[in-house]
Amino acid sequence: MTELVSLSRRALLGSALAAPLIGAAQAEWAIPKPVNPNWTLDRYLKAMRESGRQMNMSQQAFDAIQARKPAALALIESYLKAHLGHADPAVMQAFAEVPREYYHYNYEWHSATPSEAYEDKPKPWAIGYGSALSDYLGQAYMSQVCAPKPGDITLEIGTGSGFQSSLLSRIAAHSYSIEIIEPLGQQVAKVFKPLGYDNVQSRVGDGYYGWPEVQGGFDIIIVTCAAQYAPPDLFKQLKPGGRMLIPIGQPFKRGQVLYVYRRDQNGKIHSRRDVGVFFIPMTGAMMKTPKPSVTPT
Amino acid sequence: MGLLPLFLVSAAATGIETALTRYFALSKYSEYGYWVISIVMVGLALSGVVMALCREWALRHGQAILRVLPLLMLIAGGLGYRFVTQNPFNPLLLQNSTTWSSQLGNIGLYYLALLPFFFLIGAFISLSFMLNESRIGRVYAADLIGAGLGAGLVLFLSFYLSPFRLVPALLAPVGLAALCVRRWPLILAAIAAFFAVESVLIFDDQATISETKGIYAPSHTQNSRTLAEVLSPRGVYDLLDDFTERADVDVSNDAGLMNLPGPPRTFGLYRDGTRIAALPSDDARGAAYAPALLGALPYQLLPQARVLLIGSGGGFRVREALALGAATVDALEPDPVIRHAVIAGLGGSTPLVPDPHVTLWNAGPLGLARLKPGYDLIDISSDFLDQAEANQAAFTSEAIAADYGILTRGGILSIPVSIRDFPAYALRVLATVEAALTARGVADPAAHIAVYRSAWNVRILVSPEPWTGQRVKTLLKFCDDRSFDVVYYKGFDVAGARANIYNDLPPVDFASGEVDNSISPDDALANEAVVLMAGGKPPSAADFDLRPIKIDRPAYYSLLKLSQLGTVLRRLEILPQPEIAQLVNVAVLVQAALFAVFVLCIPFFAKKPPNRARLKTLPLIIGFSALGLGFLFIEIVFIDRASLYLNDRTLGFALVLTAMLVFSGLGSLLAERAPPSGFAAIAGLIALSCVLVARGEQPVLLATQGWPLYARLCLLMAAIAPISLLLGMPFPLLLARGGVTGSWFLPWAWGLNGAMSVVATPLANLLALQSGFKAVLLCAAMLYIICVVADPTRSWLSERKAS
Repeated sequence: MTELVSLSRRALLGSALAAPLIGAAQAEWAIPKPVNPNWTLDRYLKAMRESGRQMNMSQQAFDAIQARKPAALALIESYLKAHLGHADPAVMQAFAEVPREYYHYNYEWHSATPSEAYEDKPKPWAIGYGSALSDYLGQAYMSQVCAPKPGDITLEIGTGSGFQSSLLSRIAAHSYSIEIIEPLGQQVAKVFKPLGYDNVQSRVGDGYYGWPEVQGGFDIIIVTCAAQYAPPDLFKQLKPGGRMLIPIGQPFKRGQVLYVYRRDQNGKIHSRRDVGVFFIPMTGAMMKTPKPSVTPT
Repeated sequence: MGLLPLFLVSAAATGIETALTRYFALSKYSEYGYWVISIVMVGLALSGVVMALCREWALRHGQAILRVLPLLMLIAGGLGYRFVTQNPFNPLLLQNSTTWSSQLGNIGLYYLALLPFFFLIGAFISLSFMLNESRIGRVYAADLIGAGLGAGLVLFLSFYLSPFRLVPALLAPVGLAALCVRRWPLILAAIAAFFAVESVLIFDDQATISETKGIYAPSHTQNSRTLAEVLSPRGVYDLLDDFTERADVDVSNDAGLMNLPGPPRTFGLYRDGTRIAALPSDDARGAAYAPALLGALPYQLLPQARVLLIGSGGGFRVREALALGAATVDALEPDPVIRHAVIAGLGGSTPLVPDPHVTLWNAGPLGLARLKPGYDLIDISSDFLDQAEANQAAFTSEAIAADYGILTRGGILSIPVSIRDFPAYALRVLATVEAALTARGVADPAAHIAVYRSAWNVRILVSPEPWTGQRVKTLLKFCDDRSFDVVYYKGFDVAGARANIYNDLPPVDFASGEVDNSISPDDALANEAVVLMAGGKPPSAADFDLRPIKIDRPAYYSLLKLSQLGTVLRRLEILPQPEIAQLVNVAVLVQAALFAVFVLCIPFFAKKPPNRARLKTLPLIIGFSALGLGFLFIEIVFIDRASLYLNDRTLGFALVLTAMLVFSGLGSLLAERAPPSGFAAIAGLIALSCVLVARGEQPVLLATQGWPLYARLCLLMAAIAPISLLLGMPFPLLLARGGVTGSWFLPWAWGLNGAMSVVATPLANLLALQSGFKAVLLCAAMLYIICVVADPTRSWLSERKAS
């Protein structure tokens, strides 16, 4: 029994590492031109108004932001390839679809900074109340490590700007998000509906117990405000085969370490310390596995 | 006007300097207080330079300038502090490679805000020297005693005022100095300025705690409330009730499988915005989650143990120890606020119910002499290290050796190490344990050590008895039941254990930035621990300082090697916050050194000193530089030793600063009566004292650590007072007897002394981090010997006789 458990544990952990490679068999993603034809200045301004954030912008300024987007997507793609061996097309498509400039807003000062979006040197942006819109490379990494799939149910503890939940909602079936900081959470709750993201649900409150009303649990849980331990009640809501991610470190610094947790078939929890968001992978599985061939869509 | 205004200005200078470090500790992070000190010193030194260059003009208008300066200081001080509180500096963005440059600009703004005030302070002091050359000793005494009492005043006010109110309060001595001028228009202007400045600073207070600090998010949650606030020189303690607060424990991820509840909700105790402890929020007596804790293993190995806890964990460690079967519990709790909360409650928190089996001690980790030996288990609380800087003494080889000495034969010492940032911390503590056991005469330390971990934390267990097969079996089962991993015991099969790793910890090369995924799962810590315990050099030793932590070099967060500064700067983003202090010291040192060079060059641009006198500049440069460095070196060492001895950084700092300044001020008074040859004798005595202290302080410190506080305070004063008396003499002797008085050298000497003080603080800190405090003291001794050997007094006098 012990040997079986040991073998299955190795297999489980091996699959955790191999998970990013699974998608490598899929077709490479190509940046669409235009990136998001349905996203116009009028739509942006309307969505901002409906989310309670007044904003004015010229067509020229809006076009300048859109012009930077392909380069940012290309940077994300090459970053994911360098760090994880490939760029998950679902993650890339989500980045293409979700308008990042919509989330550049400081809720404490009530000021929008869309012109900062898709900067060529990605950095975190303060959104007020000690929170940050993390740099888009780190968010891309974390999104891909989550390995979201269609049909997944996700939970995020620490909504922040709402960008991460929005990304996951473009891939998964439903995204839930809890923000602990009350004034931030109340304002950010309004950003999803104007974009038509009707599969995102957020609330303000204590995320320690997760979202117990959701029957069946979650495939992906991201916890951005952990203390000395991962909350045991969240593990109860993690589906078998599900992943829990806990980034450790301050978002402003960017040097965050990810802990990825999985549950095995005996219910035991395993973790992996992932520093790849910052460091570059070296030898090992990435090098030993032949480069997957490209198959057309 | 007499010397009263100088006394008041000096008090304000030191008081405001100290108050600013408190401001930074609360508003940002305390490491940035170093930067404040450098700004202060630069301002003081710059004023000396300007006075040297404009000496004649300053002497002509000296009295008038002295009358106006306090008014200008009031305005500059008030405005400067105002701008400081509005500065949006974010220290975390300084560590981000794409945002650091904007933060350098904010640091520049701090300089612009504070330099004018401290420049004016320095101008006042150096002008006071220049206008009172016939009584240099008394002037220096007024300056030093004023400064000393200013430090004491801040300590006193810290009990009653928030750090954000200290600077406004300490502008009062400046206002009083302004009232000494006996010119009614100036007095009225000063009164008006004082009230205007204070009104703005108090009623439109812009000082806030940074949103990046731990308290920020919890205090903005739904229904969050502050239950209590305690002001003290140690810091501002806030007790928060909000839903994010939980007991600070490392509990197994499998607690649910074990049918154990999770840790309870608590109140959160913060000091200067950083969380230091959880306090019980209800009257629940139990700790049902305790068997799921990482630290629970020793209790399983030693049922009904006599336990010594180092750190009470707000009372939670005591409850956990009892829940895990401890027969008796002695708990050391050096933090007065936590201790009060455990005994009597705080802001509605639940105190520990009096229990005959539980004793709480007001003692630090070195204060074991008062305890009866024979503990079965000594358990260091996982939150103890970060509760206070002085608590790092618990992780020194001397403290571990002392703990080991009071264990029973089969007893266990349990040491926690966080590996969330760098697993190398665990290797360093392992090396420290090994050094402690070797010092205790243990032939094979590896046989007495076992290590295990969760994803984020490690426990190192040390026993006087080698680890038996039965104990190892219990260790393995304990870990397997809770998804923890064994890291080391003698004979541990690292490769064989890989298949069963619960918490994958791949090796990461710090220098190259590469992750090794060739083996998965892997345990980087286990791979290196086995090498270290076998007497080898683990790979991490190339990038990190794994030398044992010792009393002489007690800094826990000093893992980085400054010899690899380039690599460290490239990895800036992943460095833990406490490691930044070293880098801040380096930055301040570079800036200070550049400024010192600038000050040193002034004599060569000064107005026409005689050629022969110009040649004699070199001995004076050496003399005043050595004095500036030597005084601060000794002060830095005394502050750290006192902090360790009293187990209280703030008390140690305030006591040493006040005592050294006051007694050196008295010494400078005595200097007026010293004989002509006194300089060499006094400098020599100071050097000898440094050597004696370096040799003897540690045994005395360890032997008397268990004394009551008042006795330790008396012993400290007995050590500080005599040497401080001596330290006050060389500077006025060198000024008055070297022919410097009456010349343009006087303000420049003041500036040079200040410039070297700027260099001395970060240099001493870095030297202590790298080589220990004894090395700093021996360097100080050498500096005073250099003063004697350079002999500027004698060579200057002979030159004048010859001419």
